[in-house]
Amino acid sequence: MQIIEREKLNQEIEDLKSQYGSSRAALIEILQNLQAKYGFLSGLVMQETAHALDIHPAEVEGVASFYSFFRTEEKQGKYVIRLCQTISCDMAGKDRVAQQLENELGIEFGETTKDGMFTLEYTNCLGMCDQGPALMINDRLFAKVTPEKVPQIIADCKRDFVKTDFPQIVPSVVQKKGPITENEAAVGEGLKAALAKSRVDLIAVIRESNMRGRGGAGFPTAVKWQLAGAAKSDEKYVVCNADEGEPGTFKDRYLLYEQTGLLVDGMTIAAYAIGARKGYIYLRGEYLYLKQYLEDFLKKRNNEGLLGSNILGKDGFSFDIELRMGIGAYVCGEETGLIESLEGKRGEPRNRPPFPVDTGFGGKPTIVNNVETFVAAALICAKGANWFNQNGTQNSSGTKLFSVSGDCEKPGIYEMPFGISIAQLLKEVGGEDAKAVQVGGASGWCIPRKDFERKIAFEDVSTGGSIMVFGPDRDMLQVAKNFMEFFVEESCGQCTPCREGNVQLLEGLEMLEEGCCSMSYLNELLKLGETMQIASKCGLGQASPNAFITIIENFKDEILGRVPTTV
Amino acid sequence: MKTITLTIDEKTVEATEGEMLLWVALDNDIYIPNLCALKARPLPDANCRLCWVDIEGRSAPVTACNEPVYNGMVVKTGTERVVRLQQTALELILSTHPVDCGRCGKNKRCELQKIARHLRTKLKQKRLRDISKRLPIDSSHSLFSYDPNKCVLCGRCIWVCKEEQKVGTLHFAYRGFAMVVTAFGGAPLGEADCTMCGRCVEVCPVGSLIFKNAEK
Ligand SMILES: Cc1cc2nc3c(=O)[nH]c(=O)nc-3n(C[C@H](O)[C@H](O)[C@H](O)COP(=O)(O)O)c2cc1C
Ligand code: SF4
Ligand code: FES
Repeated sequence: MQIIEREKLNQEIEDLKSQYGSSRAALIEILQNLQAKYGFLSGLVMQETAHALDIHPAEVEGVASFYSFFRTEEKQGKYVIRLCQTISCDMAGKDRVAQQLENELGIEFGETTKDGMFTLEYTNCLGMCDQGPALMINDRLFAKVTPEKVPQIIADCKRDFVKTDFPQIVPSVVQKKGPITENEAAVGEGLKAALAKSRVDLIAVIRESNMRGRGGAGFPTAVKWQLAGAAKSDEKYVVCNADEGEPGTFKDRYLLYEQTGLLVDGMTIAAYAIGARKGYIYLRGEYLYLKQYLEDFLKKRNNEGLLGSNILGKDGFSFDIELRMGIGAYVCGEETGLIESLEGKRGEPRNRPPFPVDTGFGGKPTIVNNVETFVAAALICAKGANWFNQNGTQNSSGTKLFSVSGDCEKPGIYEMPFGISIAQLLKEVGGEDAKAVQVGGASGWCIPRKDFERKIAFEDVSTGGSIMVFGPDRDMLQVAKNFMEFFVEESCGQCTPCREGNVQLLEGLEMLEEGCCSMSYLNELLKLGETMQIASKCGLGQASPNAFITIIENFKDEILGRVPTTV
Repeated sequence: MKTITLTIDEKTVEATEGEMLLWVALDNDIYIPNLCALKARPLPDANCRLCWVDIEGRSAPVTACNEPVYNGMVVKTGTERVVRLQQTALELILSTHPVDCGRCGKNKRCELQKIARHLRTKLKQKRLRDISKRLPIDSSHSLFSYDPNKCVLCGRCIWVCKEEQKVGTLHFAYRGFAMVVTAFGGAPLGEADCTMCGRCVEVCPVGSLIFKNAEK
């Protein structure tokens, strides 16, 4: 019996190898398929996969235990319910949904029902912050879940969703359109214009637009492309960072689904600019429901001659795009962590230098850009650099997609020029009574009311898009705690300051909650935070203390001297 | 290979261009705190974040283990900000590390003791809270024992087992604060496939992997 099972398993692994390749880079794809089939990655599954790929089983386990969507210990239920625990969903009432889920299923979070039907888990930001509380069940997404809806959702699961009132893909809410979001009709235009230019001229247009990366760090896109273009190698890669893991960000989700043509145009333009023949879209596991759609879309583009060989009849220009799924790790949004993950490894960020533009995927020159960056690049090629940089500020040109969630009347996606003040934005979204706004997600800064005249731009308060509004009654200590819990869970753990430091900061917040933290200890923690900002290896640990520091500094009065609540 | 000269703390030293600064300093009897570096390793992880130095012309301190030397480089190992970064890293490690030196087999040979002495700071640190994990000690192996609580996650044992010995028994499992050095399936090391080379124990900078005959 056991031997037969092993043979069957080995056959499956061989089949997966012929589909995904037999290199190390195929490991994560293979594990995803095996987990879907067997419900978890047993010791046997990991061992046989290791043998098939000629690596040590320990390596496979190292990878499998790194990602939160992989399970190595016990079988998951047929339906895995993942409820978002991040701040916006938390503020929208996720606790009551959680309670009702437990009531209906008779299990607690982290458990599986006896009949093997349901597993209940928490997960971090699902990118539905404006329509929370949100949860995902396998490859389905549910928004605005109320306790009352819970029984219906579970009943629909039991009927395998043969008939359900819940949509498979929840539409994005775009509150304010602008030049980027209004131009879906321009698909193909930018690509045509770009391919008519020389590489040098093409990069010159991007340079003239002054565009800086839309993913958060704001690196000038033209410089990145220029460097990768100049790198000497006949193998180069274009990677689209569709990991969108920063809490409170949900604008890439919209672009991926509704501006797919422009995204693929942008990636193809980048490939032409740097001389790449292969591209990847690294899509976060939380967006699994977009997988089929995107794969079909890429196939369609191939059939139309817009991907593949001699694109648009341009001799010798070939480019293909492959979709790769993430499996629950925020750190894989960091570009070198992402590349490690694409290579089938633990998503541990690398030291820089060397930078991906010269030593990236497989050691080859690679550019990693955000979804919005590619979309904007395609439009810049179609409409010209001035069309883009007439908006925004000198240092932050163009309009930006903001994802607004939290305590405001009209949460959703807003396209607005860089350089607007927080006060202006709040007026637009109906959040004028806010006492604080978190700009840039959990990694960003908490801006108190007195500073609402500050501008959203790289040169002032920068953001990859996340804007979270906190109303007058919000407990800022709970907000800080939610962010720190996020970082403790998402730290990759390889470097000391981030691995231990985030736990110390979280402990400090718990002490504050219990009302037993002295001012002098709090000052030690603030100093620790400042050291982490300098000493951490990657942007995660460098940015994780930002919210802690800015919340404590601005809300000391609210946070100190708490009387412990007895539970 | 080009020979170059650089200055470290006012001392002029010679080195081969491109060598990593940490080893150049150590070879010249200038101590820089370090835990995760291994000279044989071509691509250092630079994970422990202890080997900070200041280099003239650089706005922020850098880690010496992955910083190649060049002609005319001017290095300072003990600036205020460097010491502060090192002290914090040490304190963070010690906040999870049981300090019981008197009963530890690595007493007097432990890298943490050396770093603390260098920084003129105490091992029993009080600034941060104790967040140690209290995991069970694994004494199943005939040659050595493994105390995961004392592990500083430097990754040296994993590297020698995999890259130098080509065995690959040890690996990192899980992530973040839960990350741990372990054999496949968390098996006791006595039951894991092991060639008894003892290299992992030799490179452990602290008292986590300890030869049994050296224990008190
Ligand atoms: C912890 C961490 C998470 C990140 N997550 C994302 C992400 O989800 N999406 C993204 O585009 N960039 C993310 N980034 C930034 C990327 O490292 C990288 O700078 C970006 O993808 C570059 O693209 P751009 O220049 O087009 O912005 C993250 C960075 C860090 C440090
Ligand atoms: S800063 Fe955090 S996430 Fe980044 S390498 Fe260090 S431990 Fe990993
Ligand atoms: S020795 Fe340089 S970071 Fe560890």
